[in-house]
Amino acid sequence: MFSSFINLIDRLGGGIAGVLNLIGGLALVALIPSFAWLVFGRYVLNETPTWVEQISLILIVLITFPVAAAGMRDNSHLSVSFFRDALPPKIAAIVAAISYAAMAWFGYWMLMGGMDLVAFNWAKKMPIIHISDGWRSVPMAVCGAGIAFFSVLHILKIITRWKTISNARFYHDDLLNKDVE
Amino acid sequence: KEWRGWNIHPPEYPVSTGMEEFAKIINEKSGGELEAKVYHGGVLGDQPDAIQQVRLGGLDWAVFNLGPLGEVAPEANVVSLPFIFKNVDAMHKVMDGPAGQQIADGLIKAGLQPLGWYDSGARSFYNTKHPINTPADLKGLKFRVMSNDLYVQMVAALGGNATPMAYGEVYQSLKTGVIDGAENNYPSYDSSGHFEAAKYYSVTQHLILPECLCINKALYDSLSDDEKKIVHEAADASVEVQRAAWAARAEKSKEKVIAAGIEVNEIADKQAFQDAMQPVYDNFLKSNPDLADLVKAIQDAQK
Amino acid sequence: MGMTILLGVFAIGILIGMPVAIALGIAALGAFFFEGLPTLIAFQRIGSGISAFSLLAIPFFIFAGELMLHGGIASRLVQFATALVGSRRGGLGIVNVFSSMLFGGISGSAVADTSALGSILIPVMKKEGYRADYAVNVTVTSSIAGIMIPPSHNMILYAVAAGGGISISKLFMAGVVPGIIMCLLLGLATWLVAIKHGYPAEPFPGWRVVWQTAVRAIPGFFTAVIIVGGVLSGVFTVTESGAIGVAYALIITGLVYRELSWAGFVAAVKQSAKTTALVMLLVGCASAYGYMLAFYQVPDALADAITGITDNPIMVLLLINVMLLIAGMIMDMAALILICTPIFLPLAVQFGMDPIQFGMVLMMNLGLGLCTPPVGSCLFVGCAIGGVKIEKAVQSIWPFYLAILSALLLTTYIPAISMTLPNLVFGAN
Ligand code: NA
Ligand code: NA
Repeated sequence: MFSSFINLIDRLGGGIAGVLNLIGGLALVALIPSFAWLVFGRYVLNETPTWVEQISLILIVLITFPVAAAGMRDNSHLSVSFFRDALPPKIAAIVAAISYAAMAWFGYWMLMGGMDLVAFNWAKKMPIIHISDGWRSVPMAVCGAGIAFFSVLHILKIITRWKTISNARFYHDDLLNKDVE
Repeated sequence: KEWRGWNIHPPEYPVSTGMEEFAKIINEKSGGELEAKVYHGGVLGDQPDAIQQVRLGGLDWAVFNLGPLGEVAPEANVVSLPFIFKNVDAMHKVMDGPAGQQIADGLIKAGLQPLGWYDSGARSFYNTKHPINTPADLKGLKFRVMSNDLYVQMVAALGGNATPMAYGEVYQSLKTGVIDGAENNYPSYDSSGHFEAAKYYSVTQHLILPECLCINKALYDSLSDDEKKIVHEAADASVEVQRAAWAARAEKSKEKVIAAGIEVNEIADKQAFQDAMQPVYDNFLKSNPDLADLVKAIQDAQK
Repeated sequence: MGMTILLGVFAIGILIGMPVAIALGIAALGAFFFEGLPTLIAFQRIGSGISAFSLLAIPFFIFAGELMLHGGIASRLVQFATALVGSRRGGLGIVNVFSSMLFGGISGSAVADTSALGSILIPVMKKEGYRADYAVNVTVTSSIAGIMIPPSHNMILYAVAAGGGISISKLFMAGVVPGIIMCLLLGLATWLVAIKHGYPAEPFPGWRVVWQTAVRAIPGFFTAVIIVGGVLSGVFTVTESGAIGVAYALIITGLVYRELSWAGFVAAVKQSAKTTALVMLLVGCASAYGYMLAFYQVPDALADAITGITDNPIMVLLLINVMLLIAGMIMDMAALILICTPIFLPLAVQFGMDPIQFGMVLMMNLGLGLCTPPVGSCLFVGCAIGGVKIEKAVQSIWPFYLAILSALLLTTYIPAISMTLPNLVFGAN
């Protein structure tokens, strides 16, 4: 019952991660024509498009934060796991849960910090493109929420898989690639 | 509690000398009750971020250029209007008078208490092609400007191609012809090495931006009257030190770049440049109608 | 106490397997709380650490590398290298080193280099009778060349971490000679080990085949020429060169080679966005962490500690190298560039090293760390492709370590190796 509920949330998480990755991918692709236009404008039209610098700084934020949040789901962030992997499986699982709890705490503060930045900069306009400077921090808030959400989900998965953890050597990556039984 | 001061410049720069003077006087006169410290070289963040930090109280005091301060206090943007000051003396007169006070009031509303105005010289155009004597000489040239609507519009109004670019990319871009020119004061023209790449320096002095020595507003309000007096005395003394250091530094840089073979030309007729700025001013006043009086007051004060 | 939180929380975070970026963020946030600073500033640092214009070249370089991998550029470079140098004893090993020099020059990423060339070359080497651990050793160590030979996104990270005062173009030029020296030394090690094991040589296919493979490889290789040439000639800025390089790679792989499928394109975008996001989040969190390092004046404290031990520049530089090597063994490159630069650069400069030369020393050091246990992503990837246990691969890797170490010491103590070329091209200032 509990585990099928987690399964449902996990599937939802997969959908969310897919959307976040899509946003980042589109932002990456959008960078290419922007810069092509910049070079074309400067050399051919002798009229440099002044918006490219500002827009591209938003695009890079749109790649980083959503995709970094999605990366929390499949544990693709750079980490040093060999100390933890050397521990007995159940201990390792507890250590992993503690680390996810700390990450959830950080995600929560990133969400709050991102929202504060949005509010604090809302009245300020970005130069040249004249949209609110607050928008710049929206992806950060989303990332914070994502980090918190996926971290909590990892903890819930560890709990639901607790019994099977002792059977095999415990790898946290492993945990994610298999569906919760 | 130690007051943390933000400074973007390296330790031996004129602004840095002024800030050290401010810190020294405060520490001495308060008998150690107040303690101010400077973190040089922008180690605590870049300028727009540091402005926010002083407003929030994460940092206690700083010296900011009025250009970026325009983003938090529209009044400060007025001095970013190209050619609004005739020369540096006129700027001092205006900033130390009622118009300066009005700009200060705008900053106070944004959480920054100004204590004095430092110098950052006058910005002029330099380029790799030919001397600029009339607006027509900018036609077709690519000039790097800071990402600010007023500067972009200024270059466009003069017939040039405004190219926003990160400061760090400018040297290489001048050398290799990605851009034809940029604009800055003598000390930056010298220290950035841009003079090696762009040898025509034309003294347009289109921007004379003062810098603001300021302190977090809440911190200032929490001071006793005696402490406020010390702070103001220290600020006044540091302004004098900084302006003298700046003048000496600007002169030294000017001599150095001229000795290096730079061709400097004064502008015989600035009026043509000022006339070309009309659309920039019109555009600015259209979006900031309540600043019309301030613009007029600054212009009148120089007549 | 605050400094203890900053350093201690980070160390604990790493030990319990937290992502490095988030461990940096948590440690910084903890110090912010302890000092009673507004936490908003921590997140402001994270946000503006990421939105720096000079970092925009990074996604472009990564993207170009992915397109070359998925679009057949990498495989053509290997074919060319095989035809050219495959007829030496241990020829495929030398091909491996030589291909890394060509391909790594474009991808700028050692891990991308290992996975791209390793997945092509390691199986071939095994089939031809080379020992798997040898194949892995050669692949992994030679991929460090990709960091040194321009373009290199790690050098951009370094320029940003150093405060933006270092010219990226000069860094690019500075990497060429140390990169080539490293390749030559690795080639030597590869050859000597091959002789000892009695490995075979491929038959020389004839100059006609060399010519044919070159013609096929050249359009793809032009991606690197465009990126580096665009920067040096001044037609484009570094960032623009990256973008134009990607556009060019798209045209070549999609229209000329016709090897880039829609699925391959999507996979390249996905992987590039992922790598970019991971690196950028690191940059952001390292920026918040760096704020507190500056706040506690950690670099000054470390400089004092080291100068307390010795004043001899040779010893100080050796000490820096040893510390970087140890750090490189337990952590990955991008994070260490961001953390170590503000700490060690002032010290190196104080002892007479040019920031550009220090950049080269840093790259080599941390690059070596990518092929060492316990944490070395290149070694992991290489062993995974080769189906070799890490312990097994490391047993026979020492001749290759020795080659890299020699290159590192030469670069550390002979400034001319890194400085001559950039000074020649751009002038000494
Ligand atoms: Na490279
Ligand atoms: Na390592």
